[in-house]
Amino acid sequence: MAVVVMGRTGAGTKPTFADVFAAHHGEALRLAYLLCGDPHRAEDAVAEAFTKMYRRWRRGGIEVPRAYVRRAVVNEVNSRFRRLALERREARRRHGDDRGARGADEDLADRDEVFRVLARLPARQRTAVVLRYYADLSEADTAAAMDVTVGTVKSCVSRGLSRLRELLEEHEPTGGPAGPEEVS
Amino acid sequence: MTHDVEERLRRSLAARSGDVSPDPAVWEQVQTRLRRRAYARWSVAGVAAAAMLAVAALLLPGLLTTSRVDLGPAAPGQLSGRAHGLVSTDGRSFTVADPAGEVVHEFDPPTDATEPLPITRLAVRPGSTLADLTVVYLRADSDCTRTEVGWVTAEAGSLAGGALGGGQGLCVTDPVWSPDGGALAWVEQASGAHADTFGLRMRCWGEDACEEFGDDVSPLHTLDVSGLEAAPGAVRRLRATDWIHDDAAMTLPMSVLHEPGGVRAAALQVVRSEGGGVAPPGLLEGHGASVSASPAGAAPDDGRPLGWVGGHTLVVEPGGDVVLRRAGEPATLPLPSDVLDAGQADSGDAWLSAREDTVVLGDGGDAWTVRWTGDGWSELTPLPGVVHAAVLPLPVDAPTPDETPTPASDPTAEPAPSDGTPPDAAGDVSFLATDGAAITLHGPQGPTTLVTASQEEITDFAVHPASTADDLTVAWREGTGCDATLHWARVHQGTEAARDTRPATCPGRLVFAPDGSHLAWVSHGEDPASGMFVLETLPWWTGPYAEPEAFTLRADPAETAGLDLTDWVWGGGTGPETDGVLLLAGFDTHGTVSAYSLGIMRLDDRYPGDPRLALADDAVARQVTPFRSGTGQDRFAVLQVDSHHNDGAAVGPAYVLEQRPRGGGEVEVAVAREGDGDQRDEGPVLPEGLLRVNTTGEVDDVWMTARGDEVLLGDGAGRAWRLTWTDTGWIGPRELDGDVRFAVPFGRRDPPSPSS
Repeated sequence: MAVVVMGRTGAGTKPTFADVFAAHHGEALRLAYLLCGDPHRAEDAVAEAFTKMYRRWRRGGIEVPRAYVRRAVVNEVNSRFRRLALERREARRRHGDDRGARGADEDLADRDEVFRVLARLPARQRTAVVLRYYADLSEADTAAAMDVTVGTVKSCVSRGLSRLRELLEEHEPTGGPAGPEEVS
Repeated sequence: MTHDVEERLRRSLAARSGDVSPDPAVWEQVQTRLRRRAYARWSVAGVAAAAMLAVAALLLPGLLTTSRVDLGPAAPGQLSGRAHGLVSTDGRSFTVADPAGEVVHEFDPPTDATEPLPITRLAVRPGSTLADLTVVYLRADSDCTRTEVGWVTAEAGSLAGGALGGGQGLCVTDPVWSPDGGALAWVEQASGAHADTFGLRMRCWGEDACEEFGDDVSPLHTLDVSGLEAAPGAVRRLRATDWIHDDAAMTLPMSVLHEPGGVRAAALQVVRSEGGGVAPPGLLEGHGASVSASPAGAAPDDGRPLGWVGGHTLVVEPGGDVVLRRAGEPATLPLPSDVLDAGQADSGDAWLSAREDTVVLGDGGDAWTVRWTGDGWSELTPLPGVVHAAVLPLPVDAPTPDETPTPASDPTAEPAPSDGTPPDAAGDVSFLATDGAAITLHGPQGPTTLVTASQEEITDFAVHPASTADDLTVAWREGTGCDATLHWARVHQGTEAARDTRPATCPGRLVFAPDGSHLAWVSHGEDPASGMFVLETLPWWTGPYAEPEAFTLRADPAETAGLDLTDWVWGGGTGPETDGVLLLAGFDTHGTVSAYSLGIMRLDDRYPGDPRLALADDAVARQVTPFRSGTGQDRFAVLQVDSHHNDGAAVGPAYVLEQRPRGGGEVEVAVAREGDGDQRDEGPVLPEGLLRVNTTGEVDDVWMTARGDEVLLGDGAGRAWRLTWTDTGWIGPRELDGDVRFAVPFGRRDPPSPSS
């Protein structure tokens, strides 16, 4: 992998935007991927989140970049406008009739039943679940990242877990829970 | 089971998070998007500036022959041999033809009208191909009193379309696309008695450009500039013919139909602003050099250019013949009189569309096409039945020079300090002052009158923060109370380049935002004792470009008989969403002054490009410091905070004009400076009689302004003094010469040495 010099931070100096990007974009990318299940969409959402973040950062309006990035990524992934635009673009790229075609994300997901059924949760439930069980955020921080109340987070997580369980039972009617070896 | 699900979920998410890893390509994407959007913002800002120039051009027709714009198309040799497709209309349908002339597609734009108006103009979006095409078109009746602007996208056999603008009693002229296809613009002209008023309309287009204006709203966003006024009867029609930009400037070539005098070509040119933000006046080229009558290759005495597109110009030669010229090529194409003669050209109906080596032109009824072969012109070929047509762009395998978005500076670099100090003027200029009749710049070369009052006495003014000594914008108030009027002017190299008035109701003190984005004031109603005030904020680029927003402020009438703005600070807010604070001074009936701050938010942060402001969620004006002491003994008459800081920089210092009771009914007047933290430097006690003290012990009619370490104060009756803070203390007060009713420091930030 190529190495990109993103700027330097001297002791006591204000970090550059490149520093902020370098510090947080890996985490942002992983979060975006877990929310949407598609590495390309995740990259797009992260790029967009940082792009929009830049103007505010330049004016010194971001006190906690990590939290800001997290919230921006959640917004981007769940932005209906962006999702539709990406779907249209993807459809064009696949030259029209793509029935039966499979994206890389679907192939990936097949290897992990939990991750696959996670994608079937409503966006809000999926977001709450990922923020709580991957990012390990508190309910309050999850609520801040989603711009909802703590009560909504509790409800989304509870319903999301219930729905996950139902979906897993549908897909694993006879077997027990998947072991770690299934997670490749 | 729930526990099992949670554990499996954690394992799965942890494992899947390893599917992706940080990729430098994402950083490149961020940089690319920032560059592209810097361009988009510049485009928007440019239109506002272009509007100002249009005013100058229309009011001062002489400017139309002052200079030229270098269009600089790519060398013909590089482009010949590549052919273009063509989109044409017969007034009802669109026909798409490939470079060989074969029709590949025909379609009618969607319409709900049973008898739609005929299509008279079309413009093809850059980036369109034969198979994926977006066209914006104009429908108009014969006398141009009813018009519609519509769009249609034809892609993979499907059609989509809709309306963009137009209306009854409105004449719309040719839409033009920005080179990157991210925006389009057209000129509208009112009908009837308002026919001398033009508007420049602009829409963003597409996902990338419009996301700047909010994802989840509409993909279209209005960026209108209205109210361009021509001298009565001077201009019959105004048309944008193209949209060009290079590294530094955006140009809208225009075709101006004069009455009388026929058609002239003109151009509105705007210099790109740093950082892609607003384009304040100081960033424009001189207005005289910005308006051009002559596209490259056509000197004014070499014929009369009618308009140009894509490096091609229609010119009426001195003998009356109309010729087609190509920039940089001596060989012109004389147009037969049955194609286009001077009379038809002067009717204003002639049009031209060109890309690289392909040209189509028409007279409003018929159309022809012609190609540059590399060393000459091909034969003119008629296009039967075609009312209007546009040349399709070449397939986009690489951006052409004209279509490459202007590279921004390194988007990660810290922006240049922008504290409102004109670097070239630092230390050169002292202050601006008014004697009521004029506003005068007092610099090293002595006083220079900038503007004179329109009718009434000038009672207040504010200087745009981007002003320099050579290019200065000032807004002022004439008269007092509810008879006061609001005015503004831009003075370029000592000459008024623009001047206008704005409606305002009982305006108070005028204050510009530190970045020049808004002009604001507080209005009070006919009954100030009602406690109702209105904060008005007027969006500002090179001048006001939208209606002011109004926010009602309610105060306790018993405590607040008057309320005025004193300053505007970006940063310094208390809430997480607060972008800045407005500082206000409230006066009670005893003359006691209280200072308040009001949190504001920029909607631009939430919906980039949106100029509006909002009061912060916790926007209750709060007293920032107990300027009234607990004993009621001390009184502070005027508060001035030097807030010329941007982007969250610290606020201050603050200067307070205060009264100190000395006993026996006497009051001494002093200036104090409040610096960082709790530091307070008690200023000099002003000499007796310097400021009037009324019988109740309050300082009357006093004003004070400050910037950096300079403080100006006056008695409101014509006398003013200057104080300068240094590391070792105060210098002054020194009385200013002449009758000074109000003054503000200008163009100086560095503290002078004590010896000065």
